Amino acid sequence: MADKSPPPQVKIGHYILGDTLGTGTFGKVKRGQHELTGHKVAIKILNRNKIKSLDVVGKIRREIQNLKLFRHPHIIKLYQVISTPTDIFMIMEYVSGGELFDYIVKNGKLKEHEARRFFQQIISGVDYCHRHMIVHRDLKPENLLLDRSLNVKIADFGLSNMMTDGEFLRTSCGSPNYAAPEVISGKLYAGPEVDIWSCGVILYALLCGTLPFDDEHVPTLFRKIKSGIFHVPDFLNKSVVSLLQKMLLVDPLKRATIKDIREHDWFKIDLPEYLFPPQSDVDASIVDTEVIREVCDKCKVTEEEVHRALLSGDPQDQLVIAYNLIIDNKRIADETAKLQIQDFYVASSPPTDSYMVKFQAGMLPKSPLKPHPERMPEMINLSPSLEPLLAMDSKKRNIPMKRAKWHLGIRSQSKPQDIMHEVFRAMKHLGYEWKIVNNYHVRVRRKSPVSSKYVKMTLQLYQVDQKSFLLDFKSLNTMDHPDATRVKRMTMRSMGSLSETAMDSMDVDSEGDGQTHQILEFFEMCANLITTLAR
Amino acid sequence: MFKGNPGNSFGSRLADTRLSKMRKLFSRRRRSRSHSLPAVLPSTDEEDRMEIEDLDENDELVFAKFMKAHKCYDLIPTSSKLVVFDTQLNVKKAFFALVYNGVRAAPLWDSRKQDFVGMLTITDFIKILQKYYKSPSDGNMVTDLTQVQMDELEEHKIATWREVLHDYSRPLIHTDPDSSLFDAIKILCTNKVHRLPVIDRMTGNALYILTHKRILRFLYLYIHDLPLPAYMEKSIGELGIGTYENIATATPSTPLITALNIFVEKRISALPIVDEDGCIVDIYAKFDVINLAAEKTYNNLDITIEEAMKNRREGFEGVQTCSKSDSLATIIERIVKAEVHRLVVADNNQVVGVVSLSDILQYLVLRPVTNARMSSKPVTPTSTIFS
Repeated sequence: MADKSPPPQVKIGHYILGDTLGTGTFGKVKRGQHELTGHKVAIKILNRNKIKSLDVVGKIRREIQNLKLFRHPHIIKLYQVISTPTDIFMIMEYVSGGELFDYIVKNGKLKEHEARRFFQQIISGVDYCHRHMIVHRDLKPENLLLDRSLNVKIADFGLSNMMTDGEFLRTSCGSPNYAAPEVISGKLYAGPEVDIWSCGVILYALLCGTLPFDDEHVPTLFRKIKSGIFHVPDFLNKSVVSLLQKMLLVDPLKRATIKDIREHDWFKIDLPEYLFPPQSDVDASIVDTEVIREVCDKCKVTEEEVHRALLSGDPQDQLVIAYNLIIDNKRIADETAKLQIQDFYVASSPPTDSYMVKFQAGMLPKSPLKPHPERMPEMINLSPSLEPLLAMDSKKRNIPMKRAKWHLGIRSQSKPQDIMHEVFRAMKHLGYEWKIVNNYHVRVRRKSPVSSKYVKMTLQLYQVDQKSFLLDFKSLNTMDHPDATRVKRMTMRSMGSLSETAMDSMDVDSEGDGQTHQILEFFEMCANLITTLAR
Repeated sequence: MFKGNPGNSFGSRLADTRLSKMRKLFSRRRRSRSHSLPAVLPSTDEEDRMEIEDLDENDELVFAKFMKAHKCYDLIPTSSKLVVFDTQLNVKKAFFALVYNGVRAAPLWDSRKQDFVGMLTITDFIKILQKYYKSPSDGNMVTDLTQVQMDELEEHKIATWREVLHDYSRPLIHTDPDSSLFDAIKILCTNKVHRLPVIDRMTGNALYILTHKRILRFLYLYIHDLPLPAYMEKSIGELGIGTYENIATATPSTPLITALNIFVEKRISALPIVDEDGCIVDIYAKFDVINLAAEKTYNNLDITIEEAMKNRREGFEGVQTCSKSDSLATIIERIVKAEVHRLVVADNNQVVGVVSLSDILQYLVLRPVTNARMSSKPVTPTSTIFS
């Protein structure tokens, strides 16, 4: 290997093709890396022979176009489709956690809560696709990938429709254990019910580590699937058994729907809110012209065509689907922007990559939130008065210091009269002036030596319990606007109570020119009083 | 975007008192010009007044307009912590208190003057260490103040330090919550400071400490709503954003005291660390120096940078780099997401430059205005305004 010259780089678009990640129903999947940014992707290579023709205006082409609009936290994103005469390359999101299948093989049957978490994510993704008129038809653990944080990402949504009839069934026979009875019976129409069946099989596999229908001999396997009878191990919780039985009903009409699953008690436990966001209350009858323009741009059609499609009321119309997808994406983008703005105004909010990370945080043992790169280090070995403690003090070594709680005021167990007496003495010593409101409530002022303005506060003594009292400080400089004082005086005058204005004179500033600093002057006044009292 | 936008759409948290004050300011200047930007407070700088109307159709100026339309107030969190130090506080305690409170800077209050007189930042800590550190290994003659030993100096008050550093003569650079972000950026960039205290003119209360980081993050929140100028897709190399000459670097074995000297002498805030092949391996920033206070290990500065960084905060993701060919849009996204102050521009792992938040803000916000003023006809602005 070392002697040979490195194989020539093969590029698909801007991506350098790497080693093979796996071989799926539809073809090989290779690793890819963007030549400039190094962005990693997965590139699925589909052989043209197995694909329906991708004619220019065809339904299939538009459907693939729409797949690029799918945006869901548990669905592998499709970034780009490149077609050549022989192959079609799908540039997709790359995740590093491997297949859910391998995870089960490695860990055996999962704990109930772990299985539920995966299952909830799968149902959320399946629901999203069904709402946008895409049925997977080939759900199985090999199509369920995991990201670094063990979140499910469903791959290959929408691909089954690209296969020529017959081709799909032939290939899917390679792993028929997950196929619904009506699929193996060769019925051509396969609606959302077939995905529900597959999800039921997957849930069973997650909980039991085995398959509900299994046999080496394919005809026997098919018989088992069509019978719909499966073994229920004793360790399964009754509630989940009832859910499994509803999902694995042979009659597709009686089978549970997504709605039934969402309403099932077992499913609802610990269900993260983000998986089923409330539907927008935006009136659907109002057409968003900006979105229409985007549909025109993406699908190369005229506005008229989009309007006609929307009015036709056909939910399967590819233009309608495109329209709804863009509306959905915009809504999610709006929600994300709102959250980001909210975060911005919350001091020291943890940085989040996206709103998804936030939701995932609670569900994982280790928070994926990265700490701020310039976070302050923890202060160690320090006394509450910020004196360093000796490192030799072995017991306290490297223990992060406990945060002191701060109160503004004075607590005392002396008699209330004595406390007030001390307070008056201290105030006299400091040269403060005061007015007594009652025995335990005084208004105090102090002239700033610099600005010659008065700083004012009230002192109020409260009884906290049987024997302790609390002297509370309150700043009176709440009228931070000179106009406010003026307005107050004017209203009084208009009411004809001039005398009151005069009585209020203590509260009127003798106008000094200097700049005030209300909070700090108030703090200083409190601090001086506290230090004097403490002497 | 700003036309027909009555009032400031993002600044609805504005207190009523401020609104009335704003109105007052407007009525005073109303006759001076028609208002294309309703929420813009007239700048104190006379020269700035004319360009606003001329700029309407010029998308180069979109960020300048955005910054003029928003006030410092709009960036202040709903609730946040601000720590003020009295200048009588012991220096050592002051730095411990920064760490203890998890803040990077504190306004200084002079009780005698009854006024804010300055800021205490990590740069002060570095200056103090650098100025008074006497290596245990060197027996240099030391004169007057420097004779004092480190441990004695620790007992000094902030006020003493300020006299030594001649900081007392510099008035405090600050801004008002009603000032536009544009003015704040101008103050940050022209004074080459990183922390700008926002002090309410009316109450005299310090409200917040504004940074480049916060301003760019604010812009980034709304960047997708703005019409983006064509230069956003051009590379920083093409646009000439960043510093590409005389980039100071250090190696892991550089003594810490040398790094501190470089910080002070070159007025830079970080040193890319390179290995013997000149490959970028790490970065040592002024911020990292605060670890010396947290660990109380500032008595020996002869240790190497590598040793000093041994206890580096966990979660450090390595040095954030970019390439000269990256587009400005990419750079903005990366620097905002990484929450760092600068990206090291690397080519094949070799350091070629540094692009900082202030380079970016300078380019996005200040440069277009200067350009527009220079290119606009020098017609008598005064006569049009006051006629």
